[in-house]
Amino acid sequence: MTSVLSLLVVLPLLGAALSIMLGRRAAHALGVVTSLATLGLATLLAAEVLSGSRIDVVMGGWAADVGILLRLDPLSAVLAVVVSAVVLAVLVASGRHGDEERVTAGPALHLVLLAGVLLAFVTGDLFTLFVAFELTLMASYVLLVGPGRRSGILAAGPYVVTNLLAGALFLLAIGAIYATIGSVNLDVITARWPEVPGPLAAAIAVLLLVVFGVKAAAFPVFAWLPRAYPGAPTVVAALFSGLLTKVGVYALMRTRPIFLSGDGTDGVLLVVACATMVVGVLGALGQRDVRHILSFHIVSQVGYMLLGLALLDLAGVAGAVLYLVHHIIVKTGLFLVGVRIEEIAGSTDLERLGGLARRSPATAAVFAVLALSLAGLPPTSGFVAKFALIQASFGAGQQAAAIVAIGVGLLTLLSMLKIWMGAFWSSPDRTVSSISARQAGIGPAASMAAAAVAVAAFSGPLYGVATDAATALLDPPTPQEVPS
Amino acid sequence: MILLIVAIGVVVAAGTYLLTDRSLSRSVIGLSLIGHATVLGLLVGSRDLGLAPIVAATAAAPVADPLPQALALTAIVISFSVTVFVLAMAARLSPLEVAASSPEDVEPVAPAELGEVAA
Repeated sequence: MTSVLSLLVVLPLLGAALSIMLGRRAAHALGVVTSLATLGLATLLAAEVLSGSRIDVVMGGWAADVGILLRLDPLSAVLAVVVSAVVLAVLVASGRHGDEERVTAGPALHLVLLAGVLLAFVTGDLFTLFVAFELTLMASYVLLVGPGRRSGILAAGPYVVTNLLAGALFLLAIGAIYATIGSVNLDVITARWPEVPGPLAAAIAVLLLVVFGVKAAAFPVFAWLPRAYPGAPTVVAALFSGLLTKVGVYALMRTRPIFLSGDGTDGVLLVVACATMVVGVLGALGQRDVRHILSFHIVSQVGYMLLGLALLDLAGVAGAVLYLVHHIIVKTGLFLVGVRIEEIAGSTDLERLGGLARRSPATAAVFAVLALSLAGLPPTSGFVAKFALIQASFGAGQQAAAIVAIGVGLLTLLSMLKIWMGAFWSSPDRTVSSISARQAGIGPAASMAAAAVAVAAFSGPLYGVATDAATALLDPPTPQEVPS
Repeated sequence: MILLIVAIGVVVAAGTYLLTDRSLSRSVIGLSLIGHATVLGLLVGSRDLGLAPIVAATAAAPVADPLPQALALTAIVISFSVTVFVLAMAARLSPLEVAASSPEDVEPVAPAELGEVAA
């Protein structure tokens, strides 16, 4: 079983290469099959990791500190399953969606994005993480620009430039780390980090914090996100919302020892987390379009995950892991509801929507489940994840942060209510009627809602898994433990 | 070595200056300059200097640290491909392209908007 770990990345790439050669319909079918196969493989591997030990594979038979290490531990295993499922749902939703907005190589690009994200999850060294970022971003640039219209390029411009700059800074940080430690392997870096002299360590930590902060859309470097996502087709925004910023959060989790070595950077991260939560939710309150509201909420939710990371203890990190899993599912689900609203009413502008609850009760029900989950009301998955985080904040003596988290949760509920009142409840005569011939239906969004319910129902075992993942994060194996 | 470090600083400064420009094509040039500077940074960070690290050619003499070179090569390839993509985006935004492309592709453009992408 262990030797097939690399297949997790190779499989979607192979699918992408094949689907480029096929026609539109066949390519889409192949995309669905490939992501289904990836999901199956990820589930098998995750079952093995969760029941016993992590999987380490060093590519090409090199020594572990020289070669490229691939590792599947509880955190990466769970996330690999979740993102494969998300890509599957988005591919199903995009297949029957309106064709005019899509690029020809759509399914292939979805698969390349999946491969990049999976590579970021399984890699054990910093440079491969850089390559995974670039792979993911390249696919996302093309998806965002779309068929090459002026509007697409103008929306994508700041996104591309920001991420390219972040990539260059990441490379600079990698160079500095290699010059200091002599390795890019994360285990080696973590083990030898305490030897690095203070000022140098702080400089590298700040550099990495900026880089991953940009990827995760944390305050104050989040501005690219609410500008780029609403410009993309809603199906693409659904894919991005589940995958892109989460890779940044994941990278922050992995490199935690580097910038949380106790010389004040943890305080910085706590402030950044709270500011991200507040600014995101306030931005969302000012918007009048479903897609804009949801985009700002991504920023706000990233703050919660950073809060868990900044708490410096096991409960906080476990809460962050649980929140990450819940958030990927719920956020993608909400954007898929947005896709459905677009299908039914031809718009996502709240000024032009209304009465959807009567026209499509199923959509309203799915939205209700997901929106309550995002706001964190019991008994949804959001409540479980937020409760874990807030309890951890009180446990760590950060009452102020816990109160901010609760307040932001209430404001989130407010803006979900705004969508509910504007789109689902109010008088139906304002509805723009343009039902497209081919529809994805409510299926993909409903499956995400079902997954969110499952997260809530099995929150006990899942919290156990999150604790395992957090334990592995806080106590990474020393380089000697890795087979060479 | 000091010279290399100073060179990195100068190139990054030039790149940052270009990046502050509003037009996408200038930003691309700035970004690729910064990319080159980071590659130089990788080389400065390498351990040993010496001959090219090709096993068969130089078994006895000290060879250079091969890992930063491999990293630099990968970084160059990636930044090259991304630069080409962004240049294509910039080309699409240029007034000439708008005039030459097919009518259904073109949205009405105010002259003041041309070539303007906020970075």
